[in-house]
Amino acid sequence: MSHLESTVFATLRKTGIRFYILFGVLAALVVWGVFAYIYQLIEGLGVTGLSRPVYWGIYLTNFVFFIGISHAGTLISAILRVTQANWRRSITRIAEAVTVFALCVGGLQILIDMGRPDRILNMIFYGRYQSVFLWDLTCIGIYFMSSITYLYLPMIPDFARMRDKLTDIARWRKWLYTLAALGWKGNHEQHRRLEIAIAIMAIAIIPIAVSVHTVVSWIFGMTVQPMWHSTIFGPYFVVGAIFSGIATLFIAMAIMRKVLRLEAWLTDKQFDYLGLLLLVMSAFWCYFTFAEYLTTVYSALTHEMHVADAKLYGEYAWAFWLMVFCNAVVPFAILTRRAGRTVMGTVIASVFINIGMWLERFTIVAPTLTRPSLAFEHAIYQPSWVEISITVGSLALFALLFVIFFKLFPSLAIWEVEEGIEIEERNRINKQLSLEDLRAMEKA
Amino acid sequence: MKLSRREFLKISAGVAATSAALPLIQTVQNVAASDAAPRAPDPSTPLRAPARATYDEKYLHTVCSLCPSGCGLEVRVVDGRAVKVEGNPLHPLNQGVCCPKGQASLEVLYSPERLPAPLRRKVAKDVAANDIAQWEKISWDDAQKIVADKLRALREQGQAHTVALLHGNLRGQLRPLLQRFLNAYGSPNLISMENDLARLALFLTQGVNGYPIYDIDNARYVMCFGGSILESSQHLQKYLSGYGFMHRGQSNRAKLVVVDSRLNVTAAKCDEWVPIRPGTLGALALGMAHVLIKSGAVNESFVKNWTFGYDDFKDDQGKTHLGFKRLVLEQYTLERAQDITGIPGSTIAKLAGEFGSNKPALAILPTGRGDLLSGNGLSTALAISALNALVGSIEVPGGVQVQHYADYAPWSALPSDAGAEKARAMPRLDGAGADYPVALSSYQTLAENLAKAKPYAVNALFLLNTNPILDAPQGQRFVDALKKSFVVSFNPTLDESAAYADLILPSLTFFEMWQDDVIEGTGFAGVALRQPVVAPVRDGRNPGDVILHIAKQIGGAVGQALPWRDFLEVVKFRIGALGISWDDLVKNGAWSALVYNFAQPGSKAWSKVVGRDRVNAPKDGRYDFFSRELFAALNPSDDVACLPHFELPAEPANAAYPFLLTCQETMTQPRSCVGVVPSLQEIYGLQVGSRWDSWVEIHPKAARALGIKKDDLVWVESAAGKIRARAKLVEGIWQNAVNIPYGQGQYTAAQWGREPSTAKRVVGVNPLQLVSTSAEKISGLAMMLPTRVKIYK
Amino acid sequence: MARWTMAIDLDKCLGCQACTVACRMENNTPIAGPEQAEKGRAILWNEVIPFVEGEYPNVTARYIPRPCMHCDDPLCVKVCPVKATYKNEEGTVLVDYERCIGCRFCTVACPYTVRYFNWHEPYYPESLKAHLNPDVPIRPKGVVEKCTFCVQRLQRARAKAEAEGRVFLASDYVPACVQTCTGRARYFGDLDDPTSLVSQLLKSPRAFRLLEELGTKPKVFYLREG
Ligand SMILES: Nc1nc2c(c(=O)[nH]1)N[C@H]1C(S)=C(S)[C@@H](COP(=O)(O)OP(=O)(O)OC[C@H]3O[C@@H](n4cnc5c(=O)[nH]c(N)nc54)[C@H](O)[C@@H]3O)O[C@H]1N2
Ligand SMILES: Nc1nc2c(c(=O)[nH]1)N[C@H]1C(S)=C(S)[C@@H](COP(=O)(O)OP(=O)(O)OC[C@H]3O[C@@H](n4cnc5c(=O)[nH]c(N)nc54)[C@H](O)[C@@H]3O)O[C@H]1N2
Ligand code: SF4
Ligand code: SF4
Ligand code: SF4
Ligand code: SF4
Ligand code: SF4
Ligand SMILES: [Mo]
Repeated sequence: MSHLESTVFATLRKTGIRFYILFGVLAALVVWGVFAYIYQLIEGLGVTGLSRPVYWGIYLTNFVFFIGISHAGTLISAILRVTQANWRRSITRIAEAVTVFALCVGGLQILIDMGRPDRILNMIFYGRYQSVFLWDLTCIGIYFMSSITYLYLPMIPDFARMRDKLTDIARWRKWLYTLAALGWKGNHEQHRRLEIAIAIMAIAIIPIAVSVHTVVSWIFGMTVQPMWHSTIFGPYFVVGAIFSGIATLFIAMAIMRKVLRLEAWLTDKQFDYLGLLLLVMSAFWCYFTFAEYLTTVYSALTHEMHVADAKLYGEYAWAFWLMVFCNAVVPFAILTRRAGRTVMGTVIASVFINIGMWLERFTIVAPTLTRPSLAFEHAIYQPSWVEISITVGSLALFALLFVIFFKLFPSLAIWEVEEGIEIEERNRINKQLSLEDLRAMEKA
Repeated sequence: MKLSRREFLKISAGVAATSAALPLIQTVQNVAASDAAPRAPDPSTPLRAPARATYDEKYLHTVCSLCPSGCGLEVRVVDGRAVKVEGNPLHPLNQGVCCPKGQASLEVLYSPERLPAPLRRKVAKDVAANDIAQWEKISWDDAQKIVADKLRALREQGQAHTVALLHGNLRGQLRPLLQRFLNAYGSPNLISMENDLARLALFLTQGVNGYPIYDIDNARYVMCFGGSILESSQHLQKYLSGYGFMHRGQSNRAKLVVVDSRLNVTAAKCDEWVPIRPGTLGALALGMAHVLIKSGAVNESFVKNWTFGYDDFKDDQGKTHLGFKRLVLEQYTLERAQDITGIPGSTIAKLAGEFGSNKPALAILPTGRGDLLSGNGLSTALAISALNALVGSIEVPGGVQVQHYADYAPWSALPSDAGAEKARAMPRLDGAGADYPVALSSYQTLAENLAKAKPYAVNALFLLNTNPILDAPQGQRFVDALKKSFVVSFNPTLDESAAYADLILPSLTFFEMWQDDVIEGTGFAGVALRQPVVAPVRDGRNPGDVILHIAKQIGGAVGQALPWRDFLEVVKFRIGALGISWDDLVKNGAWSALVYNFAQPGSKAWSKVVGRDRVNAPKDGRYDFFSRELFAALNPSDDVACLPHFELPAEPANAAYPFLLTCQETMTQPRSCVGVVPSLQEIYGLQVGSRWDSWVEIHPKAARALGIKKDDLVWVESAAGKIRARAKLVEGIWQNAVNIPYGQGQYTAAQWGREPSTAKRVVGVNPLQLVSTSAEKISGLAMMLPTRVKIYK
Repeated sequence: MARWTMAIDLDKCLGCQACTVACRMENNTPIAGPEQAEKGRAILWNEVIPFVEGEYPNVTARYIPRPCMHCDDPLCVKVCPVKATYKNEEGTVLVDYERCIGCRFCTVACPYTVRYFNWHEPYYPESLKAHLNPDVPIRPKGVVEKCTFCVQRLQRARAKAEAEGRVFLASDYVPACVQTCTGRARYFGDLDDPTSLVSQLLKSPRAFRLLEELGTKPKVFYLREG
């Protein structure tokens, strides 16, 4: 068994006390969130801080945020795959898992936000395509299915490996791996087909992912509300999504690396390269934000200005400026220097970015609603303990799904990483070869 | 189970495809099935109410009593439940429309605060028994017997005069019936809680006992002096309709000017708002009179022929008296008016110019509050009235009208009863007629007098449709008074005052009983009818019925004087003489003369509009600038006392209390309401967006100086006490005035909204706790505004 | 087919809020109570909104009663994912309370913020249930509601005309707020009938619509003051 294999399998084999503590803490938070939700279900949405006209609050913020995070993964791993970036191999699994779980938790937010969750199936029975929500349902549905597929496909060889090599595990797990491996034998034909399938998915998933966040942005953009009705929202949201997605990926990678001892495969190189990508996204984000606010403030339409004022100087100024600090100042301060793009540096930047991006979603959702075009006084919105509990519970759920997943499945795409090592080895030899050739030619 | 790779890939592709296709599938399904319009909210199957195909539906009429306007209501009654109220189209005042209070009146009918049965106090007298558990239910027979026994005993002991009845707004035959009852019984103490200044002013000048009726429909220039006629007024609905009529779209409509220290709704809706220093309306009116007289804009022929005391005159003894003209010319120059009112002289001159040149012009008095509650309220009212006389806007289209009444059957003479006659002649408990020579009533003085047993102790006190603890200035003063005597409260609820009663006789609301209503506000005569549109919701009774029943039990001359079986009989007896069909009246809810005939000066009809009710002054058809009624009553050493004039408010400027408190009734505040009306509370403060609460209006500049921000809880403190409310910064207020709405601060026993809340047992705060308790020295009416206050966080 | 339209003359409207209460009493909108009202959750389909401008002493205040605009191009209908809110054949925008999933997309999309959400199960003190209008369902918690142009009155008026064997006239149908309007500032009628009063009023130079620039084509229009 290779070093890689044994490291990756180690967590799948043994379960330490630390896992149980982590699991317990997360599960407790989730249970608390579930309790809050049940309370909300019984009492009605009145237990939130929502009101008229602030009909949407942090559930919608969470929704947009999690859907944004979901771009970490699949999209990034797909782009990297398509561009054949070899250093991607050790991070794709984590990235794809982030996607799937972020989608689960994000989708859940909509259910949580619904006044009549018992009627959710009406979306299918009576759904109508004039509503952006249906576009969302569709795009997210497709994205979710594709992401699962895309997560699953590269796992097949790993399943087979676990089936074959993890002998000392519970019967049900064995059965699970056997089933999931779909009789993978690892022959050339199978490999070829798998590669093709993955390649197709990788290409297909990019537009899907872009569509998802574009459509999410259109929930706001398609209305005529001040500072929502903006054509820039599509790309702005996509950029923000990738931005927060990578940041989340960083955090996940760093933790996994530390906890699962994956230092050898999640190397500074990945953090450096991805750090650069993060910086680029930050720059994009700054550009969009600047463009968005400049056009609003410059043209100064009355209703828009009420909202802009609230964000820039009013009661949402703290959120806005904190967001700017988190999303622009911190990333630039840390990531522009090579020395900043370390594990530590990128993680710090990522934590800030995630906070900043959550605030971005928040400052998009709430201020507009507190200042409708036809009001003589503005409303205030303060999330209640129920909303906060459910939000914390959702974050915990996200982490918990992650933990459980990687308790059961390998944290790296073993075969892909191996393949990568092989390729690198070949490249190195090739390079040596050519050098030797050169020298030989010189000598000659 | 073994899958080939190919199969697997097919499946995974299939899954993705399905999820993509799902929406398509249901779109197809949509087209097929559900694209037919979704169910309309289906009236026949309410989600929660029992579904019924047909129901028993009736439209019945009654009259609203939530303000003195007395609009006719049309009630939709379904299966014995009153489910909706509209205005009665056949009622001449509201003609089918209805204000928010009327709309919400079913919440009064079905109020959870209504008492279930007659209640006798179980606990000691010194606590406010505002919990129903502190009371014992008794039968109506027992309750009425207790009262009758008590009254009979007092009468037998020669203490009849020590019985008093304090009442609020009374309608129809209830007022004369109560008067007759007390007369027969032998008590002079029928005391009203109404602030009747406008009424008094009309009496002292024009000799008519009633509220002036303003014909705003036909006026060309309307100037409101300090009343918000579009929010609260004796004839509220008249002005609401009148305003709509004024703005019906003709090219040159009448101009509406509002002089008020606050931008109330009327001021907001008018053509020109003139802010004025609180308490100084009289000076403005006199300043305007000065300009009118000086510029010769007065209606000379009217003033010469049909007024008294314009010029100096000699009395029978040959003594020369001061006339209005000389007083105004000498004392109320523009400069002085400007100094007092804070309105630029040029504005005053302009207003006077407009008032004099746009005919007909009309100066409207508040009904009895606002500025009229200041120390010079009566003379202010006289001064404002004088403007109408100066331009001859009396009894002309667009001028001041007089309310006419139908010719009711006369009451029979009281059976002779020397004891009762003697008792009736005793001085009144409120000092009306003695301490206050021209007072109708002085509830203001009552609390102190009762507590001090002045001029004598009261043995039984009836409260009918009134809540003095809440509604009198510093109403807490009544607590002492109520503790000292046997108190019977006719009241549908356990209000603040009833909590100190010994016995509560729950009365019915205007949806559940027979009572006539005298239509006022139209000018022409009219009668409307309250009738039981639904069966009594609670075991209450009509106070009229109860009084008749008690009279019978007292027996003797009292029983003889009130021989009717029930109040309906009284109503039929009185209305019987009008020659209108009872059935039509029941069906239509109202009858009226429909046209107002303006009287020609000097004609026979003229005597009905000028001098009709004079007591001590000659009925010579002249409007009194110099009030001869006042002269007869006061015999003053200084003529000015009988003339419209201005006195600086008694309460001097005081650095410790830099602000002037004003109060205003909002449209959403009902009178004689049964406790808290939830739907009205939910829209309570339109102008400041306040609900279920009180607030303090304060100018942003003053607020800034005090470091007060919007919605801060601030204390408002006067010499009398302090209350706390949310600050609302409003531009439209005199800069050192603050305004708190009247009417809040009620205790409520019901749970409003799903949260059972103890904190909200009292809704808002009551500004009357702060105001001064002085009384106008001639009329005895409450003189409480503007009160000096300070404000702090 | 009629196209129901309301006109509100702001010159005549005196901000009395009778329409607000009439709407509540007709349409069984629940009492919020002090706590909920403070949170901005009072359900009043036809609120009167004050707009105050200027500085002392040149202050002006306008009062604008605001029912649902029954837009011809209603954003609420556009965004509803389940067609729970819809425009009927007569152009009136309604909500199917039994289909609505409570997503509140419509409430945030409506530029006039005239849609209300049932945050809780409606609560009434027991005795007050007696006055509920039997023609109108009580909305359960979690769904959205708003002005219906008193559609139940239309249905009743039609049924009545039919029962009496006569043709239904536009004037038979009067919403509660129009009927009670103390300033007689509200008009209601059929916009498809060029002779109707509302059609006439629409031609007035004073006529305007709220947020006209948004292109929602409201079927409630106003007549400017002055
Ligand atoms: N807070 C406040 N105080 C005021 C005023 C104000 O506006 N606000 N205005 C002043 C003026 S102008 C006036 S006229 C007086 C009026 O003051 P009051 O005469 O006290 O009148 P209300 O407060 O309207 O009603 C008093 C009580 O009548 C009871 N009631 C209601 N309906 C009926 C009924 O059908 N029958 C019987 N028997 N009782 C009923 C109610 O429970 C209520 O508590 O108050 C003066 N004081
Ligand atoms: N909606 C409603 N209508 C009612 C009633 C009700 O309770 N609710 N009550 C009825 C009864 S009983 C009465 S007596 C009448 C009362 O009707 P009004 O006598 O017209 O009294 P208010 O409505 O209190 O109006 C007082 C006005 O005076 C202003 N004001 C207050 N203090 C001062 C001051 O010191 N100086 C000046 N210049 N202005 C001042 C206020 O801003 C307000 O505009 O209304 C009747 N109509
Ligand atoms: S409260 Fe007054 S104005 Fe309103 S309906 Fe009743 S009587 Fe008429
Ligand atoms: S006003 Fe709002 S709720 Fe009414 S139809 Fe228009 S968009 Fe829909
Ligand atoms: S809340 Fe109800 S009516 Fe509104 S969009 Fe959602 S489902 Fe449609
Ligand atoms: S039309 Fe009917 S539902 Fe609409 S605001 Fe008026 S009363 Fe309410
Ligand atoms: S009822 Fe009429 S006058 Fe009163 S606020 Fe409504 S629209 Fe205006
Ligand atoms: Mo009054």
